[in-house]
Amino acid sequence: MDRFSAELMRGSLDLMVLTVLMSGAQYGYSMQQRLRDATAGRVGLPAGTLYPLLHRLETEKLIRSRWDESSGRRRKWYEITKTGRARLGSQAGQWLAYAECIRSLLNAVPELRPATA
Amino acid sequence: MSEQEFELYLKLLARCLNLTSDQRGAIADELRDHLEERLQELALAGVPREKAVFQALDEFGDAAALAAHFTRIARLKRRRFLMRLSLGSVVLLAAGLLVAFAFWPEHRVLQGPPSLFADANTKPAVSGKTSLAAAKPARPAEKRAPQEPIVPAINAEHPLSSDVGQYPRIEAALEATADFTIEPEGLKDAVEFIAQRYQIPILFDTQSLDNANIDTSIEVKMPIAGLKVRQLLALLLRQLPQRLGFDIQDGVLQITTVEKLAEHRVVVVYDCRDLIHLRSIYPTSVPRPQTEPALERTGVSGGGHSGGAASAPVLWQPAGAAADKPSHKNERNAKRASAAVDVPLINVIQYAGDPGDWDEEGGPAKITEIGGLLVVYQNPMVHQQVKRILADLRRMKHEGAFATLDKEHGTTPNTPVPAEKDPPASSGRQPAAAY
Repeated sequence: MDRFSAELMRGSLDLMVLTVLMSGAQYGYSMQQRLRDATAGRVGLPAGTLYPLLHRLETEKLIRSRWDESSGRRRKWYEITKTGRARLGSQAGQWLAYAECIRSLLNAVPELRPATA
Repeated sequence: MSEQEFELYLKLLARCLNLTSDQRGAIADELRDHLEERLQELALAGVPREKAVFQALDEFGDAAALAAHFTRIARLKRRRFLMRLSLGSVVLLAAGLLVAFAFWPEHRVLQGPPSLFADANTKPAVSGKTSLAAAKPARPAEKRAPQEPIVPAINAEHPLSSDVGQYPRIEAALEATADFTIEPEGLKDAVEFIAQRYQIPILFDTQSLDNANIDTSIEVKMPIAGLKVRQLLALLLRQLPQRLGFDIQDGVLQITTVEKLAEHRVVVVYDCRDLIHLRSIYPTSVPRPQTEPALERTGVSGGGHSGGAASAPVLWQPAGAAADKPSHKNERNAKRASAAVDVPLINVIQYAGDPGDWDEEGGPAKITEIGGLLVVYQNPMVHQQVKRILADLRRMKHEGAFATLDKEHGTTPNTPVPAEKDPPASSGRQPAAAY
């Protein structure tokens, strides 16, 4: 299937980034890779979107950063904070409920039901 | 497009960023790391170098637009900080007005008993003037006007510090009021915020902290605003399971283990010529009247002074009724006479810190008096306690505590204590104490 449209993803980017960070500290590029691999290429977060997003999440204290030079370059690692975990929990709950609502709505229209094998 | 375009892109981005040079550098480093990783990935996929550079840069989009994003986010962060600062300032101002009104001389409603020792953890070192601008170095020639607060401001200069330039600035920052709260975050991040806020260098003693397996990413928080920065730092450090402290060393505020701090002893000279007359409540050259009541050295629980039972603070106060039996009076007086050579001020100072640390108990710390100057060789934590002790003694003297005692028991100190709050006649001048 094709990549999800930017319009569809808007509003859930925070959720995606915080979810990726739940598995441990990441740097920007590795986060982008992980998102792409976890979604089989359907979520491609451009670098020009990812880095401002990371800076904004850090401003909101949902993630924190630290610098590391063990790779030979200055690399900025991010990890989720306690506040970020709480926000993710709340957002994930809302998103799943929202997705269920949309699913129920779409299932009511036979032409829109997803094809089953 | 060559790799030169790579650096040109980053330079253009940096120029468009309306941020400090440190912030611009940090963003450039972060994006450079991403670009290099992306180039490697594209190279492994067989994409020619020039094309890979073009593709990697294209994924970032327009440099000016990206710079505008970063600048907007930085402004949002600054705006939030200013909002918190403004709200905190308004609250503090209102609280300050209330306190000032309550404690204004004509409206004073609370007057507790004087305490010899301040709580080292929460009470400020001085009252009255505390700003760096108001602090004056010790000058024996100065005569203090009667209306001036007797408790001096903290001296801007550490007498024997070679870092006179940085020390006053850092000390002033530590005495400033932190009108913000600390949200839950790693200790290192919280400290970095404080360092940036007050533009002071703060370093973690990584070697000592690593040796002690101390993790500076442990989450800390402080939901209370309005604390002094010194108190704020102490309270944040206290949230770690291990004991940490801080001191100004080599021009930086260094955070390290309490054990490491305790090993770092420095000599500080305290000008105590205004207090040293306390040495002789019973001067050896004056015969003691037989009828005078004995003065007992009693232990009084002070205001939160830490230490063991041997370190209870001392007040000179009249003996209790039971002790006033005539059969014991001469014996007591004899004991007091032999104690007249003691210098109570030194004894009082030695209640600071661990009693076993002082040379009298075989420890490495030392205290000597030279013409009213106390030369103290101790670690920074004890020096802080010493400063508070001296500040409290001066406040008590200002309130006439020692003059009252002398008058009450008919004693005559070597240096006469004036009835009013004027400088002692023998000294001629009231020195502005160093601490």
